[in-house]
Amino acid sequence: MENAQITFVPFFPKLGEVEQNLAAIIAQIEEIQKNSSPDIIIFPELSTSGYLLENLAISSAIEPNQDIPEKLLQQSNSADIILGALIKEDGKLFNAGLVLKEGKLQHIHRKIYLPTYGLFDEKRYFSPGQNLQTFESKLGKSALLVCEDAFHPALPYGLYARGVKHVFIISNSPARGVSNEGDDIASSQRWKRRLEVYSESFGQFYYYVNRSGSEDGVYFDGISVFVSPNRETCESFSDNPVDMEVHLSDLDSAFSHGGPFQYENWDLNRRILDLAHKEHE
Amino acid sequence: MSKNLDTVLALPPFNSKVALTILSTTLHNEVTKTGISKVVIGVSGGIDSALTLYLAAQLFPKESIHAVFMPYKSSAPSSRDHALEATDKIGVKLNTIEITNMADPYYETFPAEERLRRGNILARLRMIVLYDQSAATGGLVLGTSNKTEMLLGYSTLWGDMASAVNPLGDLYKFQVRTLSRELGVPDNIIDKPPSADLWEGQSDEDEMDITYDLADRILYHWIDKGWPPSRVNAALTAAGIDTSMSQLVFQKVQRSQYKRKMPIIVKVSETTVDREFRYPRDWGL
Repeated sequence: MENAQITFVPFFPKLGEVEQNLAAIIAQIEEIQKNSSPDIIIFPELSTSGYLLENLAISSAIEPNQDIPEKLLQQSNSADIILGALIKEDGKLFNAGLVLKEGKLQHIHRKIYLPTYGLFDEKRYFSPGQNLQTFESKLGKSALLVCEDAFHPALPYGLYARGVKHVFIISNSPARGVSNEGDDIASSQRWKRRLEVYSESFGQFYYYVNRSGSEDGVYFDGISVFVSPNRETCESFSDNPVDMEVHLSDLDSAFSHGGPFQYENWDLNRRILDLAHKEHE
Repeated sequence: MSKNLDTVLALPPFNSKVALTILSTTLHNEVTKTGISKVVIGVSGGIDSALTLYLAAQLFPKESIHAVFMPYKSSAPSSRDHALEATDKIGVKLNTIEITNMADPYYETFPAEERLRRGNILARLRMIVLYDQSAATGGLVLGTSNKTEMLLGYSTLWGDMASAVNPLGDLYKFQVRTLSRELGVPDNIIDKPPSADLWEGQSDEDEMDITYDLADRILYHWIDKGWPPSRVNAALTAAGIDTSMSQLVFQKVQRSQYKRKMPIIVKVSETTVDREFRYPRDWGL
C-alpha cells in the first residue's frame, strides 16, 4: 500500500444514550462507505456514551465482546474502524479505544492516564488501563492512545522504541483558552504542537480526532489533525467527516531528509531511565 | 519610579474570533438540545445584556428572540433609549414590561430604605418577569452576568444571576467590551459608565470601589494564571497601587462564594443531591 485514506469523524454523541449513539455511528459509517472507500475510519473517545457522564457512567457502558452490533462489525470488513467506547469488564469501567477489523474486535486499548484535575474527574468513575499494546492496522504496525495518554511522552516514546509508525489518538478535549494568537483554541494549539514534536522526534504518523458539540456548556471543537513525519500537518475543524490522504512514502522522505529518530542511543536511554528508577526508589 | 500596569499586570490578548466560535456553537447547542428554539433576554440598555442579545441574534431568527425591557420609575430615561437602539439595530422587537406597579405595593407594605435592599427587590422582580415570560413564550432565559461581576459578587442572588444558559459567565468585562464592538453593539452602550441602574445615577465602579479594568487585571492573574496573592500584591506595589485594591478583590470573591453555589443541603442520607447524586445538566438531552 502506497497511499491510504483516513476518514476522521468528529462525532457528537448524545450523553448517556448508548443505543442511539451506536445507531448513529453505524449510519455515519454507512454514509461514508457509500461515498468513498477509506482504509481507516476513526471516531473520538467515548463516542458511544458522551463525556461528562457522572453517575450515568455505569448505565452507559458496553460489554465489548457482546454489545458491539453485528452491523458495525461487518462494516469493518472494508475499513478498519477505531472507536472510543466506555466498556465494562469484570465489574470495572474503562475508557477504551476499540479497533474493529475484518468483522472482528481486534484490539482494545484501555486509557492509562485518567485526568482527575481541573474540570476532569475520570478516576472517580473509570479504572486505569495497565498496558500499551500494538496492533496491525491496514497501514502497518500501529497503536491507539486515548486523549490524556498522549500527554505522557513515555507512551509515544515507547511506541517509537517498538517500531510503531502509526499512532492514533482519540480525544474528548474540552475547548479552553482564548488568550492566544492565531485561529485555534489554545487547548487545540497545544495538541497540535505536541503531535508535531512527537512526529518529528520519533518519525511517526499521528492521527488525532476530537469530538464536536457541547455538554453542559463545555464545547468540543471537532478538530482532526494528521501529522506526517515529513513535517507536514493537516488540520480541519468540522462537525462532519473529514478525509485525509496518507502517503506512506513520507516515512522514506523523512528518513532521507534526516531526523533525530535515526540515531537514537537506546542503550543510553535505558541507562538514564534505570538511573531515574533507582533515584525514585 | 512606578512601573506601568501593562508591564506588571497586563491583560492577556483576547482571541475573540475563537471565543465567538465557542460561544455561538455552545449557546445554540445548549438551547436547542432542550427542544426549545426561542430565547428570552432581559435587555437593560447596558453592554452585557446587549452582548447576549447580539450573540443570540446571530443564532436564532429575530422572531424567536423575546427581548424584555423592565424599567422601574427611577430607571434612567437613557436606558430605554439604549435598549431600543440595541434592538432596533438588529431588528428585534423590544417588549417593555414596567415593574413599578409590582415594586411599589411591596415597598409600601415593607418600606425599604437601604438602596441595596431596594435594588435587590427590583432585580428579583425582573427575574420573576423573565421566568414568567419564559413560560408564556416557550423561550429559555439567557443570562447576562459576566465573569468579573460574578466573581466579585456584584449581582443579586436569584435576581440578575438567574438564567438557563449564560453565555457571558466566563468572559471578563474587557472581553465583553471587545466582543461587543466586534458584534456591532452601539458605541454609546459600550462606552457609557457601567450601571446596574437600580437607582438613579448608580455606577458599578463607584459601588464596587474599584474599576473594572483593575479588577479584571487582578482577577485574571489570581484566578486564571494562578498567581498567589503575594505576587499580585507585589505587582500592584510595583505599579504604585495600594495593595488594599487586591485585598478588596480577594475579600469580595471569598465573601460572595455562596452566590456561585447551590444552597447548602444538610446531609442526612447516603445519597445526597449534588454530593453522591451527580448527574449532568444535559441528562437526557
